[in-house]
Amino acid sequence: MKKESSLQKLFDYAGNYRYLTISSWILSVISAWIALVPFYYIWKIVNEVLQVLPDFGKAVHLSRYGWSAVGFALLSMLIYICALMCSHIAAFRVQANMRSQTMRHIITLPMGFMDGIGSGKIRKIVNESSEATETYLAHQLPDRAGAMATPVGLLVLLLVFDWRLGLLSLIPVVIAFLIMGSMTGNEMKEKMAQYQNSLEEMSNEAVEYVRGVPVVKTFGQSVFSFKRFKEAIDSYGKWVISYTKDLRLPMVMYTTMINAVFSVLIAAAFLFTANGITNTFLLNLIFYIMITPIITVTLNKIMFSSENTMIVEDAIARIDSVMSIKPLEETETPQSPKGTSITLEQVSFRYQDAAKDAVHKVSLCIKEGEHVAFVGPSGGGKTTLASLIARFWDASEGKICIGGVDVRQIASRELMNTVSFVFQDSKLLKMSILDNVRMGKPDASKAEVLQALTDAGCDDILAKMPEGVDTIIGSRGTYVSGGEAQRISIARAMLKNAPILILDEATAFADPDNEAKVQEAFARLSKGKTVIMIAHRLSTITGTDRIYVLKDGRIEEQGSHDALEKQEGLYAHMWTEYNKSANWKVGGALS
Amino acid sequence: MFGVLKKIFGFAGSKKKLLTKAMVISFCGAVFSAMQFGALMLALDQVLSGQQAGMLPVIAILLISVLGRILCFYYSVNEETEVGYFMVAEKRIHIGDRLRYIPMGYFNDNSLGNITAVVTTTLSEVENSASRCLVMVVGGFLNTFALCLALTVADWRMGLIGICGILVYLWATEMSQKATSKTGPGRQTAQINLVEAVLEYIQGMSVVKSYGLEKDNDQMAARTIEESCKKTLSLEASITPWMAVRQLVIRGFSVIMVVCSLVFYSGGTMLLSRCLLMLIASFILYQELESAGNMSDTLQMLGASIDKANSIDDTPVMDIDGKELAPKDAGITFENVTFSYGDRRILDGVSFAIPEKTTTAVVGPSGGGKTTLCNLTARFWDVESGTIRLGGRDITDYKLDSLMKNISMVFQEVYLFQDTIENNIKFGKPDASHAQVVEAAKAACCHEFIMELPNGYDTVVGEAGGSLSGGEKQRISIARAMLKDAPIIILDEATASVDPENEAELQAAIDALTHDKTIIMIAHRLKTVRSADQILVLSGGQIVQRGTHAELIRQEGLYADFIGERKEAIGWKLA
Repeated sequence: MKKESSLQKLFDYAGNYRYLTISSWILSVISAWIALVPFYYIWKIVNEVLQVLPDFGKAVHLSRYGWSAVGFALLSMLIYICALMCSHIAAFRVQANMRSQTMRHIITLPMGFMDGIGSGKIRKIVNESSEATETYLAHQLPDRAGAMATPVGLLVLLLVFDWRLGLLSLIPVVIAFLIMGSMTGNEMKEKMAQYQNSLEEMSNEAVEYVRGVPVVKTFGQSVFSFKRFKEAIDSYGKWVISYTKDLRLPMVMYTTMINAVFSVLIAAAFLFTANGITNTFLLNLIFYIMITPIITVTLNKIMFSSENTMIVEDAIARIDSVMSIKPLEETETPQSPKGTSITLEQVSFRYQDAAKDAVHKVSLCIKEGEHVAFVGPSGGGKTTLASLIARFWDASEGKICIGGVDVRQIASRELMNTVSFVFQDSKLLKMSILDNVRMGKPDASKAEVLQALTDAGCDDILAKMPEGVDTIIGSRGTYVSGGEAQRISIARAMLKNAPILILDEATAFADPDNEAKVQEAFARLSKGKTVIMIAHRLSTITGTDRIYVLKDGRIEEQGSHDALEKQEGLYAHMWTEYNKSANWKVGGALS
Repeated sequence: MFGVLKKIFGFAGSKKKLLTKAMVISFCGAVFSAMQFGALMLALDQVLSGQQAGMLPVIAILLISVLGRILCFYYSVNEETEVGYFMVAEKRIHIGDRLRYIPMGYFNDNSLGNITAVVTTTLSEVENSASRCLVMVVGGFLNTFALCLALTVADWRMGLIGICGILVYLWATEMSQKATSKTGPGRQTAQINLVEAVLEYIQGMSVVKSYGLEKDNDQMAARTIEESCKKTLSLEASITPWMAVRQLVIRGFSVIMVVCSLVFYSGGTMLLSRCLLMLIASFILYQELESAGNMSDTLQMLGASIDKANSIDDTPVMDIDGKELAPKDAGITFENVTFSYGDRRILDGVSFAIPEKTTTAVVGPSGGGKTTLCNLTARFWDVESGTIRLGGRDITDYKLDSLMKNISMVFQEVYLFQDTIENNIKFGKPDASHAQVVEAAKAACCHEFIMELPNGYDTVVGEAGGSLSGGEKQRISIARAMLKDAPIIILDEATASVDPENEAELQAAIDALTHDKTIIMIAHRLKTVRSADQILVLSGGQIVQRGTHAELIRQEGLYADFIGERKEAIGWKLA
């Protein structure tokens, strides 16, 4: 059932190429059957030789049979190659389709989704999981189709020529299957699970050891820690060896059985020929001896193919985990916001699988042109609340309006044109600075872009770049610090010139030089706009119209800096602490 | 193919003997298996001559063949797993040991991730498939070879043809592998491009979305995917002919054997029984060879895995086996120290002295070399030229462990082990008593929040410190350093104000830790370094200014500029 459903999913990705996949199976089956035909001709050759004995000259068909055998062998091979070509084309197509569909899906997802899952993991899913399907579709499935068809063809051949020998040669095969069944029995499954567990434990220990190496070394504990790592490997080794020992007997029996056909046949020959030998019997015997090793090969092929199936199932499950996330709904009757005021009514939001709301029943109202700040302890909900306004997520409860219109009723493109979000860790794309900034307004002239860069205080960045504004970000020798990246992204926001601005103040700046420039640029960008600032340094927001103090997802206090300072609540406490820490000194000499 | 086999042998290390033993056993198995042909030959002789007398030897040979094979298989399974496990275990331990000699500076998220992947996934792959693959491939060839030998006994001409077939097939496999490896780089480039495109797409998504540029970006990504699809397809097509050649060789030689045996028989130089035997042999002979050849692709992948594991040996190591020394005092001097990272010179002839129990603040623009300077002091890297001294002795004279006894580092990023909080703190001094741990925790402002945890000090920290906040983790690491009580503290001052409340506690903790110690700190808040005994202004890898705050503020220069800008930054208001 499960296998079918994963195949069904692969077919969904294949589109019309699925027929190519199916053709590859059919071709593979045909090739497998044709591959048996040469055996028939060999039989004919031997038959003719035995018929005309001892006058060899009478065997006139020999060369024709011989060439037919060769011809069919080649034909089978050619068809097999065709099968592989079909399967490869389909496999690569499926892979490409999986990638582009996943990526197309990702872009429709709520923006906050990325933070939850991490870009490294998504990349792994998009690239590696789709790659895992390649071998499966390109080689495994057609080979398996061929491998399954061969026994059917063989069975027909075996029973047609001499049913006694046919049945005899099947006995070891049946026994082999029974042994294989016992190998996958319950007891073995449990042992397998234990083995997997010990492998996992060893891996965990290895991860811990490698990850911890820097700490271990700074504390001069490398000998002790290394000993633990070694112990983990040793104890895993014990499991491996004992598991192999348990599996050894059935494995040996299985292999012996599938290889025993040959011997059984020869022994049988003596039994059946006790009453004298006929040429036909001899011929059939030879034929059987020739043909039964194929059973061995096919059985082994089928046995080892199950491993890969699991990998593919896992890969598909992983891609599904992304594909099953629902995109934000786009309204069918979009409305335009009237003005740039922002109102929140009883807004709550909870992250998936979280125990409590990240934002809980928040109501607030920001008038057009107002500058407000969100402050509070980390984890208090500042960034989440701002993200909800830009509709990176949809609120679980309550209503968010911009210009009096629910954000869910605004077309996403229009919403994006209305709100600029300057991120804390601004991502620049691997293209020229010019193009990076131009993203804010795709039809902007170069002069406009340069003006925006100047306004954002980026002239010094351009000056030090080898090719100025045309320098490709990330190319050799073009290092852009976090603060510089943020200034360039401010230039981008300036060019976009959206009436609502959300600024996430960067917490970490390597040097004050940058910080001063970023803040200047922020100030210029904010003029005449409705601004929400997520602040980490209280000194930067003392002049805002209103400060919202968020704690545990609720608004704890609100008001101007002066009013809040007088309230002697959380904000006043934070303000005192902030000033203290700004004056704090190493060694405590002057505190 | 032989290259990979050699690689596996090289990888086996001290288990080479065991591996050879496994091969010998599997060759014995092949010989036993070839004995079946002897039995068949005897049987045919007798059946055709109409005698039944010699039935016993045939059965005897068959019995020996079957029993011999069972025995060989029984032992070879054992040897194979043992070789697989032990050689990988050895490698794991070898890597683990080597990590102790790799300069600390080499470790970052990327390199640690890479090493972790090698130690777990890559080596597990080798462990599972190396010996099986080796035996399948080598065993396949040996089996065929043994059969050919058996044929030679029956008729040397046929044996020769059989062996020729093996050689030609080997050649074809080798050539097809060469063709594959030639396409390897192309495939890899396509892969790298794709990974980059996907990464770019994903990382830039927030920007792309917030500027409503989904369509353009989507097309760009779609194009890359399309290109990579086409590229791999064309590469695959270039390998296909070789696959055909391999098949052709096998089928061709089977046919040659059939034709030859018929010709020899009709020419009277071969008995009928031999001729029939050869007809049978012609189709059985190459079956194993074919599966061995197909397996050789897996062998190729195995080779790549082994290369990946071996590449860890290419990382730089340093000599950490100095002497167990205790420094005379905790003063540090840099004498004309130069250090480059790759082509980039980070420090250029830096000299300074830090007297014992004084505070030195290092300031300057990012990329100026501040972090490197601290890392060199703790010997994360070795200097390119010049000398760093601790207590008057070159730090390379110290055994690394004994050097580290003198230094505590407080980083912004903290790694906690998946162990109890108590053991995490105890890491600073393994023989500390519980009372000492609590004392350190109290001094580092951890005690309160630790007591609020479900199991107090016995709470197990989640993977990489999961359930604790950044500030809490950092304070635990300070408690750890506190317990270690090293005379020198290297401190990367937090720029991220976690949140004001947390920060106050963090600073109190650092305060307690740094009391009466030699301190080097990378300072981001200039206000906080006013009281430092010495300020080093580092720019472009050189010390451009040094002195106390009072001295430097009066000079025209980088420091005064910074102070000015900093004041501006703090005084700036959003309005």
